[in-house]
Amino acid sequence: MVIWLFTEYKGERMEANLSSDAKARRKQKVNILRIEQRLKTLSFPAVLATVISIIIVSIALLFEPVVGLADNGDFYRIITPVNLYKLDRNSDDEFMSYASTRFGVLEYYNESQEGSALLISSHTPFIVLARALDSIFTNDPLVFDIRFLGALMILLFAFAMYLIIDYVTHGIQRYAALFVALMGVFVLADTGYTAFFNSFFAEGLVYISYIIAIASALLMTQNRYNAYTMLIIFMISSIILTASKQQNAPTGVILGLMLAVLGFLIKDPKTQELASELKKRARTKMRAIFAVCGAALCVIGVASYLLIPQEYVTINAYHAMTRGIMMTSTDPEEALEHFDISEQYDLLNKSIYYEETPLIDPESPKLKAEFYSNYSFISICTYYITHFDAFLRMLELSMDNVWLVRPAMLGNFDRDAGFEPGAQTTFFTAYTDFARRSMPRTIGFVVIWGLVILGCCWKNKPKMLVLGAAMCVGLSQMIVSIIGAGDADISKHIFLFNVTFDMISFIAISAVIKSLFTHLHFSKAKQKRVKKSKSKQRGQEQAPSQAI
Amino acid sequence: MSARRGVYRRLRALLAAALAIIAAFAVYPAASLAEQEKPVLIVCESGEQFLLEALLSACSTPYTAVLRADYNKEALGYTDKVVTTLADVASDAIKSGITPLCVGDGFPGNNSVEFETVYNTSVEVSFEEHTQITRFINSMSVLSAYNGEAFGKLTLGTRGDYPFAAICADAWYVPWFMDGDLSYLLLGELIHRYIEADGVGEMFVLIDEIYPFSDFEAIKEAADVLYSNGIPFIARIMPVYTNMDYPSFQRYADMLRYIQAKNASIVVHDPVVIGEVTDAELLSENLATFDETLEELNIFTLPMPFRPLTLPQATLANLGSENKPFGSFAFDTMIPLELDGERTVLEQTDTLNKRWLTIGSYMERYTSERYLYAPVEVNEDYTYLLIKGEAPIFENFFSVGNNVLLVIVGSSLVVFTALFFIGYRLYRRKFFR
Repeated sequence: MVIWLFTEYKGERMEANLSSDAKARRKQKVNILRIEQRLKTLSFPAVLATVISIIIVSIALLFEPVVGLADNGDFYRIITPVNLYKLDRNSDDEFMSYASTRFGVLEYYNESQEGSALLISSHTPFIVLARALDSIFTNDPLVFDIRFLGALMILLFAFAMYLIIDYVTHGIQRYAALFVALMGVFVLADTGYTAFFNSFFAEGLVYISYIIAIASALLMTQNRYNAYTMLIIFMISSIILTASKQQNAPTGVILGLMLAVLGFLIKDPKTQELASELKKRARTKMRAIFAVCGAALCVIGVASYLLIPQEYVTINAYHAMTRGIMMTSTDPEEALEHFDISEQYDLLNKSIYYEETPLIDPESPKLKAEFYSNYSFISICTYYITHFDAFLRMLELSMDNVWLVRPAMLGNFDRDAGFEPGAQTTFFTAYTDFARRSMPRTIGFVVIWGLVILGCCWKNKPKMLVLGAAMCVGLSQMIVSIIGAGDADISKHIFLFNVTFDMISFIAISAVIKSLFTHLHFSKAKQKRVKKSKSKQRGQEQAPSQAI
Repeated sequence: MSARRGVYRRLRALLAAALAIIAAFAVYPAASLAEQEKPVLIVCESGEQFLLEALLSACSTPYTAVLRADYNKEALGYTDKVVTTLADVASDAIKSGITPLCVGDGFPGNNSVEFETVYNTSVEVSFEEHTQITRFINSMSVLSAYNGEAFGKLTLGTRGDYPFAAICADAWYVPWFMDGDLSYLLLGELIHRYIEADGVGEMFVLIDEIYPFSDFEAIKEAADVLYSNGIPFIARIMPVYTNMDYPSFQRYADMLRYIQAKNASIVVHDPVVIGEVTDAELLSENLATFDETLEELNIFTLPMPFRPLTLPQATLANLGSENKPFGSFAFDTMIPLELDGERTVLEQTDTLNKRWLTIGSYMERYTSERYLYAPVEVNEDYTYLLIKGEAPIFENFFSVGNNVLLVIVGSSLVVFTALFFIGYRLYRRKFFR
């Protein structure tokens, strides 16, 4: 709805000398015409898919039994700065088992001293907005219902669905377009993804903002909408995506670079009717704006990485070696020698930072002096480049976690719903369940898949650029996670990879359906033309013979 | 008849012996229970308990430490001795008939004692043959009057002498002590007397926190120096739970065998604990496995149920003795050697020798065994096991499919390239004739 509100409408301007009343009536008529015109530009399959998605997701998230995600211990970092606390914080089954729908609001001073380890995230303003909505609509200022956050996410998700379905159904025959739209609902509105909306995990916002960013970039390549409108949407969603989780820092850099290049490949439909000199100037201006926005996005990505609290740097550094380099090396002693670390440290192989009784305290001065100080992100990159077999082994290990969208150990229902601890929903989860069970989990499959899709859109360079960037975003999460933190918590870092795969596969299948139906349509049209010309020819031949 | 009497006599003797044995077993457990000490109760604020626990452990006494927040009067029913820094706890103990040991300046004066706070004064601590260099203290609490026996002496500048502690009828009072000081050791002496412990403590030399990635050459060198000076020592090693089949662990074990042969008493250090241990049973199993693995490698660890008090060399340097031999304390102490400090092991050993310290052998408390060192070759060709993930579904199908696709694509590329070159040559021949 926002798009057509901002889309430029070129109507006829009448320069009649009219009275003020007539002018007012004329203006009203023009406005009504504009609204009618804009309503006609709405894509019916996209509207249908949006409405169906809203209904399905609302049933799952807003009505009993409410579906959400249980806390795995990370909630406190995001809810503490917004003065929320868990009502079940003293229960034995506080973590993993139940997805609470109600949270307490701190009435007095927030005494949390753990500011240094608390996350800075673009998710926070949405929680604050949801809290404001909760306080307006409910009479309980001391309890926050997470469904308000879920409702906010649903609205944003509706916008995302409209954009992506509008893109994929453009130029497809009506019934095929409806089929594609329903397929989109089946894949993208799966509860495996939408369950994150009713939780304090940032993945819900990541999911929505990522779809909006890629969809708006793809819509730019179709040249149907104002490029600057799409640019604004892209920038806002990309900034939200990059700032939502610090691990998304590389995402900002990749999308920024993509945007800068995209400015050279797309055309603004507004400038097509201008004279060549003006067109040239407009094109230069557009390229400059795109380049500046791309650079800004890269800076935001880098800043997001630099703001990672030191606590997480140590945790990741520990795992990068113990759950990465050493674990995938056929000779951990040789691997340690590469970093000038004593070979005896290979006894830490496969250990994790969070062990209750470790061999050595991961924060000990001895490790800081003799272990952490001997390697960095760059030296690990260099190691993996020179020991590609180890890197491939890490990738293969990471592939075990793909297609697992919903964390298996987190419950989906509230304690009051009466389900067993850790129970998971099966409502509208057919796609993610199918993907988990049936998709191949090898890196070779992913590489072939990527090459095939990029090869198929070889002729459409802008589209290829956007899809290629999206693939880089998905893979970068895995690669950066491997280099930065080994296989520890990789299931959390692989979320964007899953979204990328599902979204691009959906776009690719839609393109196949589109070309199939287009081919069928043209074949039928061609057959009709051939029949018509043949019958005409026959008619012409018969006429002279009759004349004779 | 006489034969039957002989039988009866033997039977009576047997019965009497049996009864005596049974009685002995019946009495011994009771005696054991009587001898088994009820643990000493420590009640204090958070952070204060560690210093007191260390002293009680050095006195080989079981204890229970309770913080103020968790204190309950019922706990007094399970002990005969209370060491506390809190006035209300001391009061509860006195009412329960227990004579508490009151540590610190948190107690009000009463009929038995009066306290005074002294500011900006020099303090010299002395006890029996031990003295310490004078310190300057900003403020401290002293016993200005007491109705009982004095223990230890504090000489405060020009103010004169004050007792370090007062042993009164209702309670024992220690208003001041300082960690790393003779006063802290004096508190240990007082606690030793308070719990009515017997015996005299020993002094040991310690090489502490030996990790599998410590400097083996430095440790071996230290062991050689100590052995050549006839000084036995305790080597506290960090427990290892995993990867004990690695060559690096074999090298670690080889180093331990070497120092064991140099009169090192191998003791397992307390495990490193982050947060709380949720599975104590698993930890015990891991430690037992570690012990068994070392035993298989001919390394024999010794138990240390009560840890001797750590006596840093810096503290020792400030202590003096009126007698040439330094003497010992009532409780066990350990002097840690610094392997990566400014002073070499040789210099540190010389210092210990010059102090005329009597260094004990911890090993001799448990065994008279002497160990020899025999180097064992480490298997450098060890094959490390890589973690493998789960086999993906349809792995074989897609692997075969991948291979078929690779063959098809590869051969197509070859054919296409050949056709391309053939076509190019034909094109040239046709159009560039």
